[in-house]
Amino acid sequence: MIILSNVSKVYENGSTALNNISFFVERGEFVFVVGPSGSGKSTLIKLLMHEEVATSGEVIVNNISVNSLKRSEIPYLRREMGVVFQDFRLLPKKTVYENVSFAMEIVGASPREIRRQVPNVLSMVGLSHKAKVYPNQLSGGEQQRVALARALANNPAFLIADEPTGNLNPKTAYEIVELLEEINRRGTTIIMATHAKDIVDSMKKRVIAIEDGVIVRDEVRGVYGYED
Amino acid sequence: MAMKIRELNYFSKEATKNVFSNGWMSLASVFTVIVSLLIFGVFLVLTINLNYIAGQFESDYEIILIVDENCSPEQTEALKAQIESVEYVKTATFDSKTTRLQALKEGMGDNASLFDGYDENNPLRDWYKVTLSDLEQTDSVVSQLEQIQGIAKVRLNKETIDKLLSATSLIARNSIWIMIALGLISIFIISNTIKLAVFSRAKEINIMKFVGATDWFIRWPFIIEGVIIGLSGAIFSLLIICFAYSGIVSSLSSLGISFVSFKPLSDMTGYLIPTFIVMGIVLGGIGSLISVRKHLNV
Repeated sequence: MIILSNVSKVYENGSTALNNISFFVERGEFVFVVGPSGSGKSTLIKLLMHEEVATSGEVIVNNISVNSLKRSEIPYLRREMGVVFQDFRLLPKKTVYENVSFAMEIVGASPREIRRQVPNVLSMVGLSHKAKVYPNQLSGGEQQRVALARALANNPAFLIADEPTGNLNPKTAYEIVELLEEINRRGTTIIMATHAKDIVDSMKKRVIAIEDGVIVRDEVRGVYGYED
Repeated sequence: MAMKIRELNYFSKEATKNVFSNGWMSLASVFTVIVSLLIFGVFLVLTINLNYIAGQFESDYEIILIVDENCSPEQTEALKAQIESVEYVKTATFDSKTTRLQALKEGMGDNASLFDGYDENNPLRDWYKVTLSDLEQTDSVVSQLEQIQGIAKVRLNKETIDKLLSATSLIARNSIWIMIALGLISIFIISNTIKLAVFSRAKEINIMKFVGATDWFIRWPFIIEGVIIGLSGAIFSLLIICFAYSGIVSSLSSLGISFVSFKPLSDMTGYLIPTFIVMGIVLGGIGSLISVRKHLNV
């Protein structure tokens, strides 16, 4: 589970990105984090991955207190979660298969596990037939599917998606979100930052809306009760 | 930092793949290593030879021990064993006044008759020529030699010895610093070249960080890649140095420069091969390590 408790983030230039926000995501939830650009939702994602550190408050991911991690412990936090970005971030010189297997090599998976798991996740995202292809030969939607397969390779409890549909046309965007929903049904907690309101509305999931660094709306009732 | 065999296998595979897939960058890095090591190597070769030549002068330097005129021939002969028993004395060669008079006569050629009268009453003295195994010990050796009964006088040119010694120690002392400086400069140049190669892969490092790779997991392929590049550069520059050296030495000796002899190539390789291999590994490895460092802070 993910807990944010009275979290604020003030950047070195003095701008306040997050102002005393608190929420709680349970295992298996599907949460949209919405808001206009500059609202602080990217900062929120960065705090979860320890790309940035909160100025005050507690960030807890899977019982790991993120703010107090030592530099050498950060990789192990990131292994708890799969991450998908707007710009896909695939390795251009590796094939689709290698892009996925490499995430498993990083965590020290055995060759046997890798040979079993990679085709598994590739078939889940519907790209089994493109295993030997390089990223530049794929469409945007296909590249994001590879990124999803990579994020899922190590069976993380969480999937964090930062504007995963931002570079995709509406039809492809819907396909990606449907895939995310399918992944969520299999038990993976999903936190997706997006400003695609139409997608959010059609999915009817929990929505946390951030504006100017504060939560202005959280559509699942009762969660706020946790911090009181 | 500890590595499993499986990881080592993965790292080596990644490193080799990267060397070839970044072909031009790797080539530039190898070239930089070659140039750095050539500069280093030329200096090393010069230093080794200067030391070698200084050593020849040192071991050729002779101290003259003049034998007391009252010594009988038997006593004179017995002196040799006494002289040689002194520590740091390498050789002691007897030089009789008769043979030296003979040599003088021959040196005069047609005027040899000038010395005719000296055959009966030779003004020259018997002496021993002594060479030392370590010129630094001259003072203590001389004082021990002076104690020997039958040695009338020890003749040596203190000034020449001091000059020789200061030349050798100057070479030894400064060459270490110059080599360290050259090594550091090489690391700087090489890490700059590798930095360019790494910079083009900053994105790759960034992605690895986000997938949860530890710093060492990212570093190792780069280090191995650097070592491969360093070693290839070392082998090339080693070949160049060896060929050039044997060429220069043989052309110098064909010019008839005989007062000094250079260290033969077969002796040089004993120094050059390990030095270059180690330098190549260290330069490449450290160069990579320095270049990757900046990109790991994500």
